[in-house]
Amino acid sequence: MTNEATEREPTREELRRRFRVTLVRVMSVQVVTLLLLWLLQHAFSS
Amino acid sequence: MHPLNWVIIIGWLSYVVITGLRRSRGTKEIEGYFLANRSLPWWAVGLSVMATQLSAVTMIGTTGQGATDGMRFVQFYFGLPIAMVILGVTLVPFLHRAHVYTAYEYLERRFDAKTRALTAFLFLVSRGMSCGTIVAAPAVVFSAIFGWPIGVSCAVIGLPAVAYTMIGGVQAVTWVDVKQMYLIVGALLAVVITLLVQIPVPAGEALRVAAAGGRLHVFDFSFNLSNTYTFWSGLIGGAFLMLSYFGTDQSQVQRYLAAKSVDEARTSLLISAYWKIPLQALVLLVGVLVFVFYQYHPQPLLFNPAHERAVKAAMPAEYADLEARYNASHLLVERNALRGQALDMAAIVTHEPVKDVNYIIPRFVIDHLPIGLAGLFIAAVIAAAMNAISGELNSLSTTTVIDFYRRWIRAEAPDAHFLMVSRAATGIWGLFACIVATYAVSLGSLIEVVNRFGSFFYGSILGVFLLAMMPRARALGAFVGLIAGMVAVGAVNFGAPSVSFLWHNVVGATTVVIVGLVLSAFSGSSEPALRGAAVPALTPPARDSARDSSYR
Repeated sequence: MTNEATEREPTREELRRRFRVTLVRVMSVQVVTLLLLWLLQHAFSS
Repeated sequence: MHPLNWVIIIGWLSYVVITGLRRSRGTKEIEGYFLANRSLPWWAVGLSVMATQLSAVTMIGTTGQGATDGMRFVQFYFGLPIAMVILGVTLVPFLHRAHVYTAYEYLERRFDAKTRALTAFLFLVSRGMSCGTIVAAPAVVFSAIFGWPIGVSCAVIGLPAVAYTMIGGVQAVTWVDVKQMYLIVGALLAVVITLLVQIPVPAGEALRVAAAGGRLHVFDFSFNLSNTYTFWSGLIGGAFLMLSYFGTDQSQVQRYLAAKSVDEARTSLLISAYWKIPLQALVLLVGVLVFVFYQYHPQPLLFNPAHERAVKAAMPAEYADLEARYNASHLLVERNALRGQALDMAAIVTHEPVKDVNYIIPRFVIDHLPIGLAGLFIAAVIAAAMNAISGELNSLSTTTVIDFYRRWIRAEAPDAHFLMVSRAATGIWGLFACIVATYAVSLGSLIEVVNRFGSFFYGSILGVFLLAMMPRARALGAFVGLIAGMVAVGAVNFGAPSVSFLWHNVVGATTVVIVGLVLSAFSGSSEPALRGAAVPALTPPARDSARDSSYR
């Protein structure tokens, strides 16, 4: 038996909120990563 | 190579095979063998997903690409994080709650048997062939470096993975992947640190040398459809590719179907979302630093030792002259031109493909890494190959048994029977991969053919799954749309061959959705009602009662 039975189905609003929160978190990390790569590209090219 | 390196390699291989076999408990039933009884924690699933994607090609080919072409390849993965987030709220909960073994199994519930059979068949053909190329790529390099016959190289790389996958199923695959990921990341970090120590200038100066050679150029914002490595092709084309790969490819789907719950499955994919780009940057950085290293140390004119020996034997005077000019030159452009001449000589002498980017890192490892670390890195290359092979074999076996054997040949049988067939299927696919690998080596361009073939339908299969989530889509629309998508990609491939394969995924998925919806609009009333839920993640599809006994 899995945890499935005890899991409550999330509502549409909960899903939207979860998507937004996760998207913001993941994209924030990616922006920082891309900024670091951009710095790597530009800081040493002079 | 020093005996200590061999001790490390053999020791590690033995350790992971034993780990895999120990983890085979709970595989007495088919759900345990294919889905680990849906008991795996998110972090193990997440690391296994990353490990399956990280093959030996990444360890030797991508690092080599870093040395010759710099960091720009990292743009290929820019669409991955957003794809993971989208999958986390769409296909992942949908498939996990559907209690299916394969992604294609769901398509029969939602559409019909022929759509399921066609998508599963396309997966088997492409993944079966690509599994061979996964073995072939490192096997060729090992044969050239160590002088092994190609069959021996294939056996060293393939057999341990086949053994623990056959016996332990997904449980063994996942837990071995976890251990191997620690080794791979550790080996990459150790090589970066060693390179920084061995390069005779401070790190900042080393990076300035890399930048002067164009190796730190990451971003290309040009919108050029023929260039695979631009910001936009990575972000848009890459997102479609990753949606298709992680959302519909059984080798990935099977991992998160084995997670304890929907939340754990979703979280497991976020590991890739957060870490894939930094990990890929680390892989490329190894190559970039090897490039810098060779600016301060003598560099081989030809990195492939087999080609070097052949050219030295056939054209000794010409090669010696070229080598002398190469060592005397300090201009990058001139050195590249001389290397080009040497590669041309190798092509004339060996009649083989001479692109030696895959040999740069192995040659550096053998010639310059300290004793012990060289063994660790080669063990990591074999580990990466084993991760990819085991994941592929496990998913090939699952699709063969669930989507074909149990669906068309024998629907009812004890679990012990299906388990025996599954193990046999894993072994047969492993053998097939090794045979393909042996031939792929002599055919040379087969790897490229397989990759191109895969890109023909990746986007189209994604399109079918997108249709599955649309209430209006019908079976006829899905099946004809799938074929239309592949035809459209074929037309783009042959009509506009300069368009990068990353855009094929966009073309395929879009065509399937448009054709599928248009046809569904005309065929809707004449078809049976939807068999699955229309809206993802809200209502799981009803189970197929005829086969409920098997879903324990």
